[in-house]
Amino acid sequence: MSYQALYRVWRPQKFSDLVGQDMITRTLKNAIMTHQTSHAYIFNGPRGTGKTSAAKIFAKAVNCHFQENGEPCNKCETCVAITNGQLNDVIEIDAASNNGVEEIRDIRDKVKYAPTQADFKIYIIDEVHMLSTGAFNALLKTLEEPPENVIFILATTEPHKIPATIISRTQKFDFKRITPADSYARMVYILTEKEIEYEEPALKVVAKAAEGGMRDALSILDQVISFGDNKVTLDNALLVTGSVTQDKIQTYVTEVSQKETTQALETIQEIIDEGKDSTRLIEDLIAYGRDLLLYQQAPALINQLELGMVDDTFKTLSQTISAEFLYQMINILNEVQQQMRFTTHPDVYLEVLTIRLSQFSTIEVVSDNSQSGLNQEAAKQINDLTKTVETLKKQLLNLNKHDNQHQTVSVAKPKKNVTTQKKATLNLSQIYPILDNATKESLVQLKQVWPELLQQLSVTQRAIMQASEPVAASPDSVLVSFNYDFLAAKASGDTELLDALGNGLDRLLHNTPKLVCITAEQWPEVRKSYIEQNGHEGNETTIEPVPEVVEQVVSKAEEIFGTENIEIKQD
Amino acid sequence: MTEMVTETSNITIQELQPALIEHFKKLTTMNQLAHAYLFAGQEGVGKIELSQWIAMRLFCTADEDLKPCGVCAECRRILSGNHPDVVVVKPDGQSIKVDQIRFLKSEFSKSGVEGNQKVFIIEKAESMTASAANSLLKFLEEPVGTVTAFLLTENKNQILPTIQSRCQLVNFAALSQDKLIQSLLNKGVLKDQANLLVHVTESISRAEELSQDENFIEMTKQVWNWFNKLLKNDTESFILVQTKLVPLVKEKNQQLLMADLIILLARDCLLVRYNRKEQISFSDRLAEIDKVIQLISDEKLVEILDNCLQIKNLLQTNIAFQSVLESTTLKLIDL
Repeated sequence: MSYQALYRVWRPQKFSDLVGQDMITRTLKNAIMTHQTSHAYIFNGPRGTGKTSAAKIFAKAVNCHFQENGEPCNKCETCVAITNGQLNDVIEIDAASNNGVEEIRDIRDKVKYAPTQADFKIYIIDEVHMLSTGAFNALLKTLEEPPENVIFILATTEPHKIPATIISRTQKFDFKRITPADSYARMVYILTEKEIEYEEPALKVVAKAAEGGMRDALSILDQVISFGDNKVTLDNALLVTGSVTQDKIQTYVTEVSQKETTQALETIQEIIDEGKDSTRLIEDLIAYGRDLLLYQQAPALINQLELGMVDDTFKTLSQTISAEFLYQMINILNEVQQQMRFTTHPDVYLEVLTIRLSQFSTIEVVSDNSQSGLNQEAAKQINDLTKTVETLKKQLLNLNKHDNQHQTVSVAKPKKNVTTQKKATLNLSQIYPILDNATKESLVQLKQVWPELLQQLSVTQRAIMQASEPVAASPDSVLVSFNYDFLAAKASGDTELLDALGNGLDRLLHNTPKLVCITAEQWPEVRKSYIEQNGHEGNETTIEPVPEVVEQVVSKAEEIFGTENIEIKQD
Repeated sequence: MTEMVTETSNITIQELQPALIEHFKKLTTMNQLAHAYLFAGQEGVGKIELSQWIAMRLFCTADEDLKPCGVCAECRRILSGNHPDVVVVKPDGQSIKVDQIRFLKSEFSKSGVEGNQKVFIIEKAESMTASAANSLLKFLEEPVGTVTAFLLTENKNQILPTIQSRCQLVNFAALSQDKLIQSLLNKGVLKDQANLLVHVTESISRAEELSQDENFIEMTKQVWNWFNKLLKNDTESFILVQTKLVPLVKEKNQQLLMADLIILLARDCLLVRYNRKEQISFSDRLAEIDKVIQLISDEKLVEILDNCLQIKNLLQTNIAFQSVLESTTLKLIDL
């Protein structure tokens, strides 16, 4: 007989052996005692929490004629046969390898034959999440109303992959992770039975490393035993789990919290050189950070939970390190943990992590800044909103006033007209000074940077400005013409846009000219009237020739010389 | 010939992992071998060699001195991969398919061809497809007969947790770099190059191979050129990707190698900044790195390294190498 792993030898054979699942075992026992068992169950939970074991125990308890309080006797013929996997009526199926519709059809065909030896025919379908959709659906009818004396037990680690129609036909039991304290107790029991010496801290390390899986705990324990000549020592436990001693973790946390980057990097290097597992290290660090946080809030809780791992350094650390640092640390650790899953460079990630943690002070400042920035923005928004509300209130007041005097409709219409007219009318007093001072250089300069300026705008702003061009410019102001009058109106009313343009020009030209908007239709008129009014042509060159004039000249030229022979140059 | 091979592999694995060899020597003697092991460790740390060593221990007829002789028929068949009761599964293309596992299972539901003991070795176990991994579960938990399974992986986090919990995990410690450098120096590799090589790979034979590889030497040069330009925010680095870097890599593993070099360079910058100069890999560039990073803030260096680490992740999701490098370049120049 070859050596058998601990978790196979010590597979629970009674409900009372199942660790940490009291609620489930009690429910199942009661169901068996009162003969109220359902015909279908789903057992789901993380690895190593006892799903398959519970299914087997259940199969025994249902069929055992000598069961006491819902526990199987484990002595009668049926029990022994089930334990050895020899009873034909308890059928264990590995759904991961038999996941097709064919296999399920096979079950469906055979399910109608009555059990041969035992009272109940029990199908244990393990890893049921791997069944194909077709297979699940083929199972539905059978699962809903199986023949008498048939019980289905589906076991899985991934319940979200199971169709809702299957789940609704079954009783579902959620197996919980096993707490370190529970697995510790179970390991102590097994070791005493096996008469193996052990060091208590070693078992604590194992229990922690198992992360809630009893089978993991026993696998690790097995290995620790084999490393140390039938003795469980702390050193071997640390070696096998790849964990780092608490001292090292404390040193590391102290160093990063005091921003001693170089020392912290050295500590990390030492840990890597010892061949420690980097994922485990991250987990340990997260756990440690969490413990510190908890200890700051509820010291008693930690004493209970962590199997008494509180010492003086821990206490001083919990006093010196701020809660914000711990939050930030846990966040960063979580992030790195995610990234590390797919890498073969864990050591580099650890170094980045160290630097980030020890640079926490700068991170803090940055986050503060962004926060205050946010606040400013929020304040601005609130300001804007209050303004809008006020104007709306005024309007409403006006509206009410008018309502009292006239009919609403008759008033609203003219008012609208007034506003549109107002926007359409030109503010000539603004435009003429620009034309007075307009120079050719300013315009050329402006035209050069215009595309770049548009690029710096946001998409919506750019959309407005797309149909625009500067037509005249003086050093301190610009006349922009728009193809459509509503765009001109919109642009001149949009302070945000004007600000953005001003900023952009400041960056590009190092001055912020004032922007005046005008429509393309108005421009020739304005220009004409300006020339007429001033009666001199001194500034004529600065103003763009009216397109119509140009076209006339060009068409004349084309007539004379032919289209191919002329080249139009603007001076 | 065979004898020679056996001889060297025996020596290396005993040199590579003396502690593990001791451990498994004890286990096999006391007949306490578990039924499933998960060997986790970097490439070249002796995972395959150790699993073969154990298999030989189990089958060797002339078992002297608590170690396999390496010359008897059984040992030689295991080493050459011809033993009917030692089955090795390797990825078929990118991954291990469910059919391969089915074959394995059917193979092991039969009793041993020549005895009771059977051994199976799954290389690169992390490349098992989801269904392959799942169909292995039940079998791994309670195998029929006397079976010892070895799952070898470079990244144990990619192994299904349900598989992990059924195996005994054996972490292979990385070889000490000093030892590696020393043995490379003995083989006539230059000091600076040896220093870089041990960061790229942990297998001596691969390191030796690379040290002869002109492509690799050119690659280190060009990567440095590119990175140097990048640190200076020189947009020419974007062009270098197309003109210099991409022509150097043709296969996937070369791409990954270049990604490794980039990561190492970015890491070096940080190490130099934090005064851990003895650890850096591009030791011949120390002075230049030192000069270039003067103008760069700590946060930016961390950011750069972060971005470089991303390169490998992106490559694994099958994004074109050139696109990855170019987008990284643009991002880093922008920073």
